[in-house]
Amino acid sequence: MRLKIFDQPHRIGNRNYDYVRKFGMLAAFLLICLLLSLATPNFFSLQNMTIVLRQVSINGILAVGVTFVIITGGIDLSLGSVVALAGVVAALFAHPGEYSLLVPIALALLVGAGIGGLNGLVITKGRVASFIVTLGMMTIARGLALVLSDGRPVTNLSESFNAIGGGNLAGIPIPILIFALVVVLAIILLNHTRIGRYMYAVGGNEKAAYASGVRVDRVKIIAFMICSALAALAGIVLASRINTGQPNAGVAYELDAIAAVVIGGTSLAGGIGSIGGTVLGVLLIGVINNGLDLLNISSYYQQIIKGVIIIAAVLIDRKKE
Amino acid sequence: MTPILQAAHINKSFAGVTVLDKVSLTLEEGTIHALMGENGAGKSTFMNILMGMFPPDSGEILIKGEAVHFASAREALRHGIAMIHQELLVFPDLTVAENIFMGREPITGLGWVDRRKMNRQAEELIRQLGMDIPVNVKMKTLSIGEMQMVEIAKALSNQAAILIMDEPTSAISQREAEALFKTMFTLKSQGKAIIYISHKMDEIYRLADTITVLRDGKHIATRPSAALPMEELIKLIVGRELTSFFNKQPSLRGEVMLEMRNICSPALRDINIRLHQGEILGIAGLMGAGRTNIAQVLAGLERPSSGEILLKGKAVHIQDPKDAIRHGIGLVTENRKEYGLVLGASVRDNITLASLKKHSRGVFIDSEKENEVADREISRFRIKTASRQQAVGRLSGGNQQKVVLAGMYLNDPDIIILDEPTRGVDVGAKQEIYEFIAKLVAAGKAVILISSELPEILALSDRILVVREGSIKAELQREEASQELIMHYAMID
Repeated sequence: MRLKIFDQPHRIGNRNYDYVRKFGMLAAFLLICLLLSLATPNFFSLQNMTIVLRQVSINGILAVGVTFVIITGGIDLSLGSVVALAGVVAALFAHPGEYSLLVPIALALLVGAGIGGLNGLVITKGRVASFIVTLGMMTIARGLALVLSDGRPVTNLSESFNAIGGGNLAGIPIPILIFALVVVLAIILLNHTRIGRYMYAVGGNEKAAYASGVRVDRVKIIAFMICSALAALAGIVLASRINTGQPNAGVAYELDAIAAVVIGGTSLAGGIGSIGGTVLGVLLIGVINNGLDLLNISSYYQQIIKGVIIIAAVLIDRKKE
Repeated sequence: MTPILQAAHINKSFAGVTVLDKVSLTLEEGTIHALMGENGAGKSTFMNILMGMFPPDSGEILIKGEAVHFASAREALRHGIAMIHQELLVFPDLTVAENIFMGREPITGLGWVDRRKMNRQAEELIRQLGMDIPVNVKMKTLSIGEMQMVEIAKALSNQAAILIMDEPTSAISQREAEALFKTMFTLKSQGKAIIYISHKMDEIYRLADTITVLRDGKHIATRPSAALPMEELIKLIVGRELTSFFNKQPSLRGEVMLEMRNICSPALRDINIRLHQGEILGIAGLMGAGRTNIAQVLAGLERPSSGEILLKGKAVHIQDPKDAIRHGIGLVTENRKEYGLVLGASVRDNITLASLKKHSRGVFIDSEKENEVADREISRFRIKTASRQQAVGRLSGGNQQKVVLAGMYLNDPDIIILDEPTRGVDVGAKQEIYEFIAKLVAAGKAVILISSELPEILALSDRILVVREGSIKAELQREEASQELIMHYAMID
């Protein structure tokens, strides 16, 4: 099976423009990399590349997840809170010598998938906008994280748990491997399975998808479940990396994830987008942050630059309409 | 006396298709002028041009003998032309008075809205219409008939001398319609001119002084209503010839495939239909008569409130489109952009969407097979597309419709419902669609054909049902059916 990473068959528009759009972002990314490697001695080193990848892996996992929801035409604002909740849940069961490592991981993922399922159910059966439901869930999940942890960081975690975020496998940091695995599975799911195709159809034209016999509600619920389960995975990685289940972690993480998706060319209107684009968006944000760090530019400016890039990316998208 | 409005030789085409062909109309002060014609005759385009919504390609509009050019509805309004739309354009959360004076509120010396003055003027306007509507309640608390009155009051407050009314009685009660007619006569006696669009014969003959008939974008006739008997009017409205050649083979009628028994829904009243294998059953009627609702009930897009659907004698419950597809019912919707296609997705994805499971191995799509199927259908239906990866929204209407047909047919349905299958489709593609329909019945499928194009219904159908106001008014055999007869049942009791 051939994986199509940058394939975006689902967009309307001028053919030449498609190439500009598809490869323009890639070209911009490579150009920035080139400039940074010229400007700083350390940028283009294996060590620094590894740092960048490790830094982006959490946002990357979140962004891949929310790509599913956005392709179906929805939005998920509860991700950051799910990161915290899953981190706390995992940490509570990750004290040394209590349970097998599988227990905290499985529980956290279940909690994540459950929250996504709940989001999806209320959105589809209750016919409430996803913006509203997930805004509410953002608060609920945060509250649950605080309740479960009693408002305090959950510490004293086992060695094996801490290895998820801090360890290496074959010399590569484990978070990078997890991110890579998530990307590959997401590409397969979105491009090579029926449910993936249905997600594009639902986001592109919900009524036509329904009339074609697609179970629209189910497709949307699954998208939200995947999204929240991946947020939980990101929460596990984060908790492991900081050796703490931190109920206040992950604030506004959803916004970074959505930004990466948008920069990657996925339409907030639904029906158009790709995992490849999202990965590029994630890397672009990561490389720019890293480069500005290396250039000793204050993180205050980094915020401004990131914002400009988001708006510019969407402006380029708009122009063809 | 100079007519208040003259439109002369108005031409308009969209994307190379002529919609209006030298249409003229003369409107006198103090008269009600009915504009009639089938769906697609060009009435709406004509009115939109008079309203300044878009300019004509050529032709002249004179108001009181003076040539005018409208760049917008606002300019038309300034020249005294106002339209009461079929879909009312109101601000539901503002008051009646605020709606009437939207954008032109009387202000006090301090620049504030002078509510007292506004309400007083609004009351005055409403009273002139012989109505009793409080002016300080929110618009959304009114009935549709009352909202229409407010719209008329708004038009009058703009000094409108010409009112265009587009099927104003389609959504209001008989009592409200009576009130509307009374108001129309009052306006007429005040010297206002009204262009009235309606399909309802009794209304036309009660109200109109003059009747103009359009057909296929052409002006057919303008006569005083007193000198135009109803049967002749119907002849003028129809009388369209089939633009493309089609030679129907006699169908081999088989067993009963589908039965609808006493189906009722908000839009349907006691529908009974039997559909046989190998036959084409035509359903005719005006837009909004319930034709599409019948299709939607069968396709699972609408649920009936009572009644039974039987497939080959067995009662079935069709909860959603997935059920319908499983039971072997395929629908081509009248609105392919809304219910038929994912416009941003590729030709291939649209063709295979409804039958994706057939081109899969487990949960995975079998890409090779899917591509094969898509290419096969593209060549079978002669779909003109750069490739299977082309976004379907960039194809022409005819090719889009072929994509819809191909997608529907891949599920191998036994019962096929075609709702306006040739709407917005060029002549060549039309011909191909007719041939496809003929092949369907030859292969033993049962077809329901819903169409506003009477020649099409007449040429293809074995039997024709005529629907009006949600119920079946007549069943005509192929031999006895004619455009006049169908229109008779579609429009008159």
